[in-house]
Amino acid sequence: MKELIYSALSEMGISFTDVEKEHMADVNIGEYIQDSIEQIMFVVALEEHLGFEIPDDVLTKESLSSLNELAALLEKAK
Amino acid sequence: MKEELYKPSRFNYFKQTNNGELLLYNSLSCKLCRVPQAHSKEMSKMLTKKEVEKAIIEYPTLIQDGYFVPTQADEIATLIKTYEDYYNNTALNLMILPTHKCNCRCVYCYEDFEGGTMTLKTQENVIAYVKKMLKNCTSLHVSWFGGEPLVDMSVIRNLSKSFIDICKAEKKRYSADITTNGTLLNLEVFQELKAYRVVTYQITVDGTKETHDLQRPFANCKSSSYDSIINNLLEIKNKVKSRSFRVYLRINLTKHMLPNLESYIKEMDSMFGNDSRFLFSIDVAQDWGGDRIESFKGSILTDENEIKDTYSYIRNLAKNTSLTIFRDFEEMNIAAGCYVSQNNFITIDSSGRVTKCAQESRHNISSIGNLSDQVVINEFELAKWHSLNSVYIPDKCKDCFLLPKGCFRSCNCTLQLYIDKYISNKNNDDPVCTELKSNIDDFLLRWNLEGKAKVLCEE
Repeated sequence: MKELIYSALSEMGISFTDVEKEHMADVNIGEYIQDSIEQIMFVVALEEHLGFEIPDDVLTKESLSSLNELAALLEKAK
Repeated sequence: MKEELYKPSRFNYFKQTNNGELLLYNSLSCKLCRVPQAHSKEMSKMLTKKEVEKAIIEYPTLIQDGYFVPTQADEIATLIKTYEDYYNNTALNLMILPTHKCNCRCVYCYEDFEGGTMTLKTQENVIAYVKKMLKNCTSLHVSWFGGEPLVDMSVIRNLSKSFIDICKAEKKRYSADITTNGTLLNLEVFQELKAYRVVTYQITVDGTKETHDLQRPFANCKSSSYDSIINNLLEIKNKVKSRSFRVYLRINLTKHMLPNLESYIKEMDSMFGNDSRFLFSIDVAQDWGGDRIESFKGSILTDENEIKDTYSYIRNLAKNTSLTIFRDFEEMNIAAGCYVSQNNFITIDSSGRVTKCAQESRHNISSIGNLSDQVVINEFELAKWHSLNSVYIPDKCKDCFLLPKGCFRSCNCTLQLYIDKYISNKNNDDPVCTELKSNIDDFLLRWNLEGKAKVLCEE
């Protein structure tokens, strides 16, 4: 799931190297998404990678502050 | 050690509310804060001083959000830098008109519908242009426009797939928006556009069914375009559950819509009021050029005061609803001018003609290139446009606390015409003050009610 999130972020021009991914304990996605339109773009990219619609209560300020938490929530929503 | 000195920003505006609080707005930082009653008198005094010692400024927000700036700060220079950043935006922004055809005949539309659909050769040249330009840009954004862009999906389909592939290969971001009449936007088309990264939609609903169908009829006049749009939007609203899109519902106000505005607001509230993916954008129908407007000119609102009063009237009607008026957000932010002032912005029409502005018939502007047979961009014409971005501030506006709103920068095309006619004196440009300035107190009170003000004592 984390890889799918990284792929969606990559489409937003936000890329991490394999070394970075390995060494980062977590990523605050919210820090990379500057406005509500970028958030919509992230949802669209993520939904394409996931193959399902993301429920409204999954993408919150809190879940966007932690890639690990978002991955866990998306696993549940699958 | 000498105490650091600060001064109130020249872009501050403040208002005492009925309950004694102070609302403080800064038009450069676009921030609003609320000073509790206990501190409001003291704050009012500070805001009228020429300088204050930093130690006296109790709340960090007052400095962070630009209400107080160092005495040596040049706020005009900061403003000009903000404008320049906007002009030098590193994104490649294209407005593409896949076709000039349309299934509607709106009374104020300037289109003559004579142009056809973009050929494959022109599409190849557009793709080649994007490949070349994207090397020096950080991202690509496309605005689909027309005619009605959804009349022929093949162009959007072909170009979108190529743009997405190019951006993936370059590791650059791609996004798109569309201005559509909404009549062809069924769920299937919407889902396809989503795959092409179309994230925002501008769709015009001109009031109730009665006024909309009068102003925006189908070309064949056989059915209600209002019904088609609303059915499509409700299907999207009800069947797409995620926050993967935003629809700006625009209204182009005319005189004969005024009696029905209350019904319109009620209808929109009942259909979209509980869904923040749908925002409302209020505008005024204008003479955008073309022939059809001649028989409709009497319905156009031209009196500035009447327009401002109408905006206020709509806002008041919307107060007791769940509708979100998009224009409010716009008005709180800095406006550096029309999007055509961005150096990396061009418009490509279905024949491959390249201009800065899509409303070329209105402005009679010259083209800056052509992509029909090969990629040709006239660098001299382009440089002429870029030269318009040197920041000129009319005398009338120099001391205005709303200067960052850039009311005087609204239309580069008009400035271009001045240059083409060898009129070098830009003072001919007479800016009109906005509704925001006339009703600033009402705006501050509403923004405060909407929770946009930071409360100082909560720090």
